[in-house]
Amino acid sequence: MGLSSRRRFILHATCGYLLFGSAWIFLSDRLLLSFTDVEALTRLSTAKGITFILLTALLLLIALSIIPDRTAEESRTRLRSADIARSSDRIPAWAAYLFAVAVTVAMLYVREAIAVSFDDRPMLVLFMPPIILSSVLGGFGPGLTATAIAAIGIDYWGIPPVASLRIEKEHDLFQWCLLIASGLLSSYLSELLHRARRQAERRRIRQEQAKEEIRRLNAGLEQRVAQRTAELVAANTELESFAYAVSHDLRAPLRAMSGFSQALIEDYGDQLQGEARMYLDQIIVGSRRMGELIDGLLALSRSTRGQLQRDAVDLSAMAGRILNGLKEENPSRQIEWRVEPDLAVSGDERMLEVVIRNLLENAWKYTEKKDKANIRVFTREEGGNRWYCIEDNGAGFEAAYAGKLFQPFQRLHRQDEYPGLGIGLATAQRIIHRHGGTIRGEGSPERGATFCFTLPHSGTTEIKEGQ
Amino acid sequence: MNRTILLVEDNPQDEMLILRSLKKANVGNRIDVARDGQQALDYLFSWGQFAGAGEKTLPTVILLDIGLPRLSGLEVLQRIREDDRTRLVPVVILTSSDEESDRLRSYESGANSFVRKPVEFAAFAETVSRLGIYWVLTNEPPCLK
Repeated sequence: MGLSSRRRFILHATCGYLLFGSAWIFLSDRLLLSFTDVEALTRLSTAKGITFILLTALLLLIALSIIPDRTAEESRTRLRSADIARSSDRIPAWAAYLFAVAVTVAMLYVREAIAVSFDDRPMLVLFMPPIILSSVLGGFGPGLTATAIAAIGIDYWGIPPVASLRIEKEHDLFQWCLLIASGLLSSYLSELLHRARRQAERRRIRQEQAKEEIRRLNAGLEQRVAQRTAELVAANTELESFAYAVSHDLRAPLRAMSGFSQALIEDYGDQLQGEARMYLDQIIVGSRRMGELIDGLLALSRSTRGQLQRDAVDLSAMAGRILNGLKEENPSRQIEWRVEPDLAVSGDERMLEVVIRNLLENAWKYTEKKDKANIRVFTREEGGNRWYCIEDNGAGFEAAYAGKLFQPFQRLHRQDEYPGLGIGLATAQRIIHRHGGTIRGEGSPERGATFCFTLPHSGTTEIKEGQ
Repeated sequence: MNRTILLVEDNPQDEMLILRSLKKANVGNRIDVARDGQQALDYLFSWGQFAGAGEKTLPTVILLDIGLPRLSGLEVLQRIREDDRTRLVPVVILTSSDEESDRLRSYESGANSFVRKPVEFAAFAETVSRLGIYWVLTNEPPCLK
């Protein structure tokens, strides 16, 4: 199968034309023999020429309309190997030709043998079965081969005068022409059938290839997803080991700084002047502060670590518990609080506790300088969302800086006003985001602050609890 | 009875601070120091540089850091618990880590105590001296050869 289907077609068409043309010349000239009138001879010759042109034009039309497309050639050749491999029911071309030759030659002998017992007639109809069989089996080529062998063989051996290619009797010639025409027709029709079958098969194969391609793409996609997930997991693990290293390795040098400063004070304190002693104290204060910052950083990185649990959480009870704890730690503070009852949500209890604790501790801290401090925990409906809010009447903040509140280590108050790390709200935001919610802060200086958050997936629990 | 403390600590500054705190707490016992996990095992099983030191009494307590070069503290702890000679020696994990997983794995591996080194020195000194007093003076170790 070295030839492309286009080239093969061209070859077939050329051979077919050669055969047809030669047969025409041979036949039509034979036809002219029966006329003796020169006038009639000339007219017939003209008619013969016109018929030839018409017939060849028709053949040309057919040939040009079925010539294989060059652009489709590539995909077809790509298909062909699979095509051949898959259609095990198809007979190879050489076998079809062999069959055509063998069966037609056999029929020549058969006809030769039965000629004796019957009236000696050409009986050309005997050759139709081999021609039809060959064409059905192999399409145009084998059909044409059978036709040609039958036509030439019978002309030479079967039709008088025998052992010559001439045909004497007109009805023999007519029969002979009919044989050729039937052979051509049968071959052509079979070829069309073959093509249709091949096309259907090719379509089926193409569909299978498309399916295969889809399967392959799907597999690729899954692999990519797996790869990305692995990358994410790796990144997370790396981050965690980083946090671990921070927790473990950054503390030791700090301990050395504060430790040896302390040792210096203890062992050589009497030799140190006032300022020298103060500087050492500053080293100790600095390392303590840095220790706290490292702890804060770790708390932030751990706040959203691990699987998000979906617990039924009673925020009201949680807030009450935390506030009571704060009151026990600072019994001197005059604080009134109101907590809206039955605030049931669904979320990670451990994480939500961190959020509520951070917000309440902030409220507690920033109302420190008020004579009558108030803290309120409540909900409000806004923009189709339920917001859980914690409000205080403490120091508040400039509304313009509200956006900075949630960034780690960002503070809106000086250490000597209100000490802190600037990590609590950042942690709260990370946890709320992990739950798919949002958190925001409102406030104005000396009039208090309100922090509200949403928990989008807890609505259902709430309604159930409400009923 | 010779009550030795084995301190396994890779950070020389921490080592100095621990030794100083123990001294300040009047813990006068002999303190041997191993600076990585392998050295600790060599010391306990008389291998390597400690080979041929003769019959040695085991320490009355091992203060073991987790983040050690070569063999980590947790691996050392597992080896100690796997060996019949040492499986009953009291081991106190003394580490900077406050990872929940470290704590859990320490107890799972058979630690007798898990103590986090405070960053602040005053608290650190207090912790170490209390550890020394408790494990050396208060606690009665099992009878080990």
